[in-house]
Amino acid sequence: MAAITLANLFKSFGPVEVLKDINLSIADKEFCVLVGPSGCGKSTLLRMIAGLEEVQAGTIEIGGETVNDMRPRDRNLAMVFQGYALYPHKTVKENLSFSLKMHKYKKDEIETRVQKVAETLGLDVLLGRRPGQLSGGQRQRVAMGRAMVRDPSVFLFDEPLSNLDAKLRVQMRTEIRDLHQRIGATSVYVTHDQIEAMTMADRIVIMNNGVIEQVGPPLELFDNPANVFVATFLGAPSINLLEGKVVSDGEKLGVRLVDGSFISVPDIKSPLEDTSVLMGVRPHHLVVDPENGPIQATVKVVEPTGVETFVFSEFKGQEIACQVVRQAAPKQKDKIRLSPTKEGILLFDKTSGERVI
Amino acid sequence: MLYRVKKAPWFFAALILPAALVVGFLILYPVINGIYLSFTDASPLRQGALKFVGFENYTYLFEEEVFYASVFNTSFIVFVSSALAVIMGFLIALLLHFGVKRFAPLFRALVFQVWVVPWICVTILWGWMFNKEYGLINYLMTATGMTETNMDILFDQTGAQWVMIAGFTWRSIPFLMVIALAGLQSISTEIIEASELDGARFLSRIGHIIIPMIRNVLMVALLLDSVRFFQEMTLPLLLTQGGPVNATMVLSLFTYQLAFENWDFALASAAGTVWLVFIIVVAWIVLRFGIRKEHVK
Repeated sequence: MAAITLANLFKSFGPVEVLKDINLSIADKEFCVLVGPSGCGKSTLLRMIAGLEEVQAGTIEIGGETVNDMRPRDRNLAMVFQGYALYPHKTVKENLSFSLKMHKYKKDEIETRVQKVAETLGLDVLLGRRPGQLSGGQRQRVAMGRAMVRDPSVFLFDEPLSNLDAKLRVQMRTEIRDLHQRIGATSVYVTHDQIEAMTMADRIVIMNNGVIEQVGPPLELFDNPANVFVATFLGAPSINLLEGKVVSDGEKLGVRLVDGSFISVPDIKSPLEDTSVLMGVRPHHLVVDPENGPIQATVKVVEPTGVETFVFSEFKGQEIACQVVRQAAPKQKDKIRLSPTKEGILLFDKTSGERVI
Repeated sequence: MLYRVKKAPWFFAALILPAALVVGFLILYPVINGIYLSFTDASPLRQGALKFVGFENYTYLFEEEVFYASVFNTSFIVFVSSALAVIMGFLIALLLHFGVKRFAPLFRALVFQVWVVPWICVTILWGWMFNKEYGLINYLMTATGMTETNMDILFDQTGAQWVMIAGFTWRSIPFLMVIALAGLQSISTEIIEASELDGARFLSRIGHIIIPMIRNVLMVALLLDSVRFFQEMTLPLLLTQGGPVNATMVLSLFTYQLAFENWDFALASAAGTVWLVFIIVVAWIVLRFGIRKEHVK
């Protein structure tokens, strides 16, 4: 059992507050991804769990035990670093066995464990090499192996894939996920890449400026973001945000956009009348509607990506993205009319950025 | 490539000419001339042309007891001082890097002052430290009861050698410290942290991670330092003149005395040549067995 509980964590570097009142529970065997823009405090949080960064206020519990003052070596966790941090003077085998040696394992035990991990990761033929003689992907695997060999109860990953090329990154993503399913240790994974977060996580923790913006399973965050930040952070191309005001057209409430067009929103409630809002619509929820589409835009760029085609057009000085099937793709400078699907409309308060619908 | 050596050989020759001249006149010529002189009877006291004498100078040298003493003393003093300087420089660097981080730049600057102290000052300083009547060392030894009366350390054969070692080591610690510190700073914090998570305590981290990683740097520094010690003669010349009973007679001083006290340039050249070969052998040993190539990319 190695659930992780973070309660009221604070951290500041000099006058800069990096983490402000962080509360988070990570369940045993969960794969939890911390994601956010650089400088949001996600790495600091991970390093605090690892014990590499001192806790200034609040508590960290691993497996029900407070570990605030425990040294990293006693926390039974392993970490995969961004730069892999392999020991350059040691062979792959020595790299893998170092932690076992330091924890005074018996020689034959070390041998079997290293062999097993090497087989799992396909490193058995590389055991005699040094990190300098390995490719990026192989080094990444050694770093993973070094973390696995001790059977830790918690795995920490600090942007482990950011040094790999795109193809390897996708491959390693699946591999890490697969390993997690086999090993089943609690994992905390830091990344700034929302695709990595979406594809790997059981639960995503979105952070910004030292606070947690929202926590939840990937698709739930994608469909029901709590605020503008979460909505824009997840999804590519990013969500369209159109300024407008909640008004009534006499019968029903809706949003009047800057160009005067009216879009009716079924779930809207009357207390919201007259509030300035941002209407969020994801590209796949904007459909081309040549007759009735309320949003009239001019096509700027058409991006075919194979399966889907993205159309970026201009609407009142703002870029607006939508997704179409490639047979129906318009041409550059075409005038198109777009209409949001009913279930695809999210409304955010313009000043606070909080979701209202 | 605009120019190729084959197409424009004179252009390339002109480019390396200044460097070739400097190296040729200032380094190669004296070395070759020295080796040449060692086979002659060169001396400013002798009139007439140089006479070629074959290996006579060398035969004489290898039959001279003082020569053997000086080879032995030099090896002992240089080896011990270099080793001590590396160890202490490394320890201070560790202290600065992992310990007193806050004052590290100030402390580093202070320690480095020793590096700019002229050898003559080192000589006077350590001469006084070990002085029989007023020396600090004697004061401490009698004050703590280690000895009953003041000792004349400089007139003791082993004592005098250790005074040399103390002076050499002291003067070289800053250099080694700066090199070791640079080595320590070149190790990424991620690696140190990884070893922390792997469970290495401070001492095993130093033994298993840090020393192997900066070992090449330390070895090169050690070599540079020993070559410098091989050449250094201010301390023995001024403090002990090689005594007592040749205990601090080092190769540099021995050669100097042959040349400028006995005015036997030829014999001095022979000693110098032996000395050159000796340094080359030592350097080869250090580079061959001290430097690990395997993890250099």
